Amino acid sequence: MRWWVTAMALLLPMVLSGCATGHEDAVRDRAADFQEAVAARDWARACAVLAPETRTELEAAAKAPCAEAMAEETLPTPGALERVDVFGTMAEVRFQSETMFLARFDDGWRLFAAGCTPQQPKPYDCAVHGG
Amino acid sequence: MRRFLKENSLSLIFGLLFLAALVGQAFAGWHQLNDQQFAEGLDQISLGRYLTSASFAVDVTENWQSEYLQFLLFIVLTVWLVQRGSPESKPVEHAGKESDERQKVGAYVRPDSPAMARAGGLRAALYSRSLGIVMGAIFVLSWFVQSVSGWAAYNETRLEQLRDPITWGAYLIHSDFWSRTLQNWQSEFLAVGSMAVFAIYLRQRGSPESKPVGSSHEATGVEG
Repeated sequence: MRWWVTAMALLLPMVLSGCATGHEDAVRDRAADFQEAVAARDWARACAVLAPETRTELEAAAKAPCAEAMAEETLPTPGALERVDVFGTMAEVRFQSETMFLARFDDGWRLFAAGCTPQQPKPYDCAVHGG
Repeated sequence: MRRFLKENSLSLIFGLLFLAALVGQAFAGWHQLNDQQFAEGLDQISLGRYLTSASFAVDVTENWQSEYLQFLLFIVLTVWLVQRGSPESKPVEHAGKESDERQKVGAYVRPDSPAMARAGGLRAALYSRSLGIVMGAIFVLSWFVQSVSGWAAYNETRLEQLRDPITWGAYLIHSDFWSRTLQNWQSEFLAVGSMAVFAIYLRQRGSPESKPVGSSHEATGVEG
């Protein structure tokens, strides 16, 4: 039966890689950080949790530093948390009236896109996004 | 030791080739994924994280399942299906499960027959199908892992594209799952089918997968 143990040792990590990743709490906390910063109009704090590419795109579009650019954005009031989905290095946090996308970096989860509203079947339309 | 290596050289060399190819795939896939991460403004990932990622798992298992399906079908279908002139086929008149005498079971077991074959009854019946059962089990397990890891990898891509993820059930009828599956199946079926036919007319001196060089094109089930 040794081959069976070897096969399970190879296959189990593969199965687990597709299942719950245990990052939901970290994702939820990071989304809450961003939400609180926006609610407090603490734009520097909101900028600190943006993914580098998202921050760069925002500054390039507004031709202004991140904090100033964020102040110009109209972000919806998110409402109650509905669900968190994590797949590999990407995550989605859905609130009643806003969706956020997060990406995993070496130092933790960061906002990849925020202020997103659905426009099915097209991708979300996001007030702030990178990539 | 040398005798052991010589007598097991086929399985040992294929084992080493498998490991070398898997290591090569791991490094190539890791660089490919990091290239995509770079293009999307995302962080580079470590080799360790890649090896436990859904991307690596789906790339490995989509090939595993198709290989085991190929051999499962070849093992099981060649019980009944034949190809006149092919060394991969039994002689046409032997199509089917064959007699106990030819299979050395029941009243025809020998002292050196495996214990499960000598046991008779359910154990012998199970042992009579054990190769297909194990190949089939590995196929089903690999295909299941492909479906789960493919679902996770596909949803990761959807999130990068700012789209909602889909459920595992929806993924099972999604084009991504069937494209990955069928692109492997078609190549396996082509390779097996063409080898069975090529071997009617072509020879590889010394190979048990070929007829002896001087054998007639009509000779069936003769291995060199």
